[in-house]
Amino acid sequence: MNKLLIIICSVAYLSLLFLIAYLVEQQRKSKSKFLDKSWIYALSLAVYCTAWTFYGSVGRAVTNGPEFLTIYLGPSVMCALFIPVLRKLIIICKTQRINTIADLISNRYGKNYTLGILVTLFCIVGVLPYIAIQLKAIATSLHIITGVPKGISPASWSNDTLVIAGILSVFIIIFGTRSADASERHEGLVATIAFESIIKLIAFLALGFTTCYVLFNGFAAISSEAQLKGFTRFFTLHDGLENNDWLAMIFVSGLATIFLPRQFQVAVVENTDVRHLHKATWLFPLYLLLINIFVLPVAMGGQLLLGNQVSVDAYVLALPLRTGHPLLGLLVYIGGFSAASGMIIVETIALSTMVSNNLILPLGILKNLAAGGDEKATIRSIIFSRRASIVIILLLACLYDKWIATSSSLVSIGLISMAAVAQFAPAVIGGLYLKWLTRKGAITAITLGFFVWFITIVVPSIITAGYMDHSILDQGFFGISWLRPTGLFGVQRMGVLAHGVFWSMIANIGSLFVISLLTHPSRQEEYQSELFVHIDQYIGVTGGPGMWKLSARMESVSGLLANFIGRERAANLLGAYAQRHKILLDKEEADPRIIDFSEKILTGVIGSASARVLISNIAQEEEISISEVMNIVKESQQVLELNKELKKKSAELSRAKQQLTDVNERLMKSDVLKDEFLYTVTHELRTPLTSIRALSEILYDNPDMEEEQRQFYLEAIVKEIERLSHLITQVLNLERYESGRQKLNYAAVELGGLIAEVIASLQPLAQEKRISLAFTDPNFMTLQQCDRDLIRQVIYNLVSNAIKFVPEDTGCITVTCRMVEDELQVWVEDNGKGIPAELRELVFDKFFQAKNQTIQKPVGSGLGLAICKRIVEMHGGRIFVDGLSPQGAKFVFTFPSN
Amino acid sequence: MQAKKILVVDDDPYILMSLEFLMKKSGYNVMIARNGTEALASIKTHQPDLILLDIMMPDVDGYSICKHVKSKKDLKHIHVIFLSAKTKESDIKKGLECGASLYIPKPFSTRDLMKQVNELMA
Amino acid sequence: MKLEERKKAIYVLLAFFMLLIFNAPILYSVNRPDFLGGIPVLFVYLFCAWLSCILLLLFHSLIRTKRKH
Repeated sequence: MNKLLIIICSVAYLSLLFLIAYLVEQQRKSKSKFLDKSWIYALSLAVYCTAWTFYGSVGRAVTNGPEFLTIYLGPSVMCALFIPVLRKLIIICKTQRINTIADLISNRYGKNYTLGILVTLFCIVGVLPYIAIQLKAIATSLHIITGVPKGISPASWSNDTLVIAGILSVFIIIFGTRSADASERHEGLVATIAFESIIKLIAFLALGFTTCYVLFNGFAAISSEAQLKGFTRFFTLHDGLENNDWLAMIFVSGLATIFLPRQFQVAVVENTDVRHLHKATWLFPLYLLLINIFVLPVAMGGQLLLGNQVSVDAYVLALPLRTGHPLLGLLVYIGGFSAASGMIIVETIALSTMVSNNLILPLGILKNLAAGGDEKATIRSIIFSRRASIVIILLLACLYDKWIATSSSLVSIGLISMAAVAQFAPAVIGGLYLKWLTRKGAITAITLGFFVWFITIVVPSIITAGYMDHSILDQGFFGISWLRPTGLFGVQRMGVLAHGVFWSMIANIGSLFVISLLTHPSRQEEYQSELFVHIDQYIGVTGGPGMWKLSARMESVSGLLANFIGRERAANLLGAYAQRHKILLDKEEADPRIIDFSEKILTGVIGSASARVLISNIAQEEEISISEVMNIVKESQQVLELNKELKKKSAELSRAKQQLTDVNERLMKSDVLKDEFLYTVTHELRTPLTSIRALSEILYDNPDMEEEQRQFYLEAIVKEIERLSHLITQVLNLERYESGRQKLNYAAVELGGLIAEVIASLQPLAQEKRISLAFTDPNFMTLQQCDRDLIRQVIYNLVSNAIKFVPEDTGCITVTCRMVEDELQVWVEDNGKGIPAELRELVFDKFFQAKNQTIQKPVGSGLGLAICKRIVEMHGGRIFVDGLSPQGAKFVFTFPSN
Repeated sequence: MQAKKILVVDDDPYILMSLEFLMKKSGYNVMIARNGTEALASIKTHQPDLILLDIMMPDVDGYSICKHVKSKKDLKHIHVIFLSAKTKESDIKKGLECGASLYIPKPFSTRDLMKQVNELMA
Repeated sequence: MKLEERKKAIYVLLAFFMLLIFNAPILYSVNRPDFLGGIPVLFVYLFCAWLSCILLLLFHSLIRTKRKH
């Protein structure tokens, strides 16, 4: 095809990517919700599928059969296993503003420079070849589609690679390094990655469909033809299953889903919402399945149609071109370009942040930056260092491609990279769940793991490529047979990958555990481990557990921050934080939470270790012990719990307050009532006392009184004393009943007998007044559970009251028992002048009588009815004055049904 | 000189009885009333020089009677002594504010009472 | 067990289940040059198992999101 056309198409496609990135960035600013971010997130994870997938899967299928599938089964398996891990990682990285895997490991193990540098270096070593093959893939595909014959002028190839790298670096610099704060998300960039994922899927599906149903008559037809031609390797697994490479590949490819720098970037750093994981859980594996479903037919088709004419990695592109589908060829080319460029973009951003934060900035520049007054210059330097890193990385990749380009196919370099980054897994995953892992353990583990990885996986591939003496492979290092790179310690019958993964993981995990057990974590480490392992408890805790007892001048904190993110933005962030947590900013001493927050901001810009160094430069750390730290941690947890408790308590309190107010009101009322009662009692006592005193004094002062008058006076004194003692008894009784101190002495009482008894005892009083007093049911045999003495008192009071109020001679009192609907009623009726309706309830009030008496002499204490009411109520019954009959008073008291 | 007239008002018959005895013995002209209504009638007809007045009565209370007496020009000169079982500070104050000469809480000493009455009537 | 813990446990179980169906010994039994409707048995097995795993994951994530609302 016309080279110019292809270049125009490539440039047009790149421009489209620019446009998408730009539009999404704009849209983000306007905060509209046009795009569903959970879809973008899930699709961006498919950056996992690189040119290695797009071109390499078919190549590997041709040579190794279905083995290539492991690289996609692994992530699918891990999708399930990693959801909890990823969730935790995302939360930690968000709260701590961590933006690379190097920073993550360094942060977990005490914000340590060494670890950051180590991880960065290993990442470069492990991943750079991977970037290189992507560049190469683009260049190769360009040559294939433009028809440059294979093997001509390799120099110009490298030049093309360089040009491609240059164009991509411009794109990355524009959309990847807009702000110095690397923890800011690149939503535009992620959207283009998601878009590229769609394009590469469509392209591959189109190719697969065409192969299956245009070039051949379906999947089955291809299979049978391949079988006919004797290409049986497509149908079964060969060595892979027996030598455990199959399992090893699933294992490392699964780990790579998180630990490859680009995967970490899209899965963790660029995640905007933890909940997006739900969709990714199934959408990502589904994507992998779809992009792989046609790999085998295309591989078989390629083998059948192209044979050995073209390299197996070029089948994908050569197939449509050689069979007369140039447009499909163009689409496939664009798809392959998408796959490669997406990987290069994200991987380079991730690596450049690592390189810049862990290698360039700490090299002395940092202190100069922090000291330098010109904040704009500082920010410029940081961005520059990151851009320089991007260029350096891509340049290194080009150089690698030019000088060290191996004969290995796409897949094996990918696998080597994956096995490399798998070495971070124990330190990271262990660090998330085990508090006792230490920095020294992690450093040893990663170093040893990489060393073994290099010996067992890289060395054999170098030897195979012919750069090293082949004898090492056969006889071992230094001629020692159990040091053979593919058979350490005499292990046989394992594939190279399985063997390498096995030993590197043994060395890695083993040393991590052993060294961690042998060493003690520093204070900082212990602090970070607590934070990582129990991150769930610190979400929402003000200041988090990162509350070092740091003291620093506010001025220097805000100055430092301004240096790195600009004065305006620093002021905004600090202001918002202070407002949210109600911290005063105008104090000279900075609040520890402000210092902690500033450190996190700086972490986002320059990495954990550097941020820590800068903060400790301006802040004095107070000596605090571990136990103090733990206390702070516990306190902040408790504060959170307390907060919840408090809210509950507050609701309870307001309810309690209401109740208290009610009770208080009632108490006040009853207090007033009690006062009134006491006052009335004393008043009632004073009256007879006055008579007694006056009469006695008269008797004493007048010894010459007439005998008859003297007798009369003495009689009056006796009566008044009786009245007095009766009153006192009544008051005491009532008080006893009301306070609840009187216990009811329940017994089965034959009510008829009891009433008859009371009537009999009052009969003389009635006869004195010549009135009739009768009990109409002397044979009433019902047994009633009650306190005999108290009920006797009720009957006595009611009857004697009646006797007092009926007229002489004509008076008539009757007592009856009635059963009304299960309720036993006792009626005391008289033919006196009755009780006015408005007083029928008041008569049972204490001293009602005394206050309302119209006849001269109180006939009772005024407490009799009050006592009756109390006793009846204690039995659970009612007492009332029947209002139906117009004549006389009718008192009724009842017992509840048994 | 005509004997001074004293009106005794109380709803307790025994107190009434003893006060009547005491006043008569000291040579006063004694009238009795067993409630507020009777008291008001007696004041109108007899114009006593002194009223021994109970406060708690079923119909009209002592305060009202005292106020009535002190508000009438022709009755203003009548002395009032409260005899009451109400012994709270506020009650005493209220009684004196009505214009009573004395407020004697019950139970009182008959000797003291007589002394006070005699002094007032002298 | 808390809901959060249970979810984690289910995920881990799922992962081990998947690791199992994509490995020996089942894989050994389908690893032969036979055809099912003209398509290699191994291929059919792998993709069917894969698809059912994705459905399991989808089902699980749907349950989770439903429970949240």
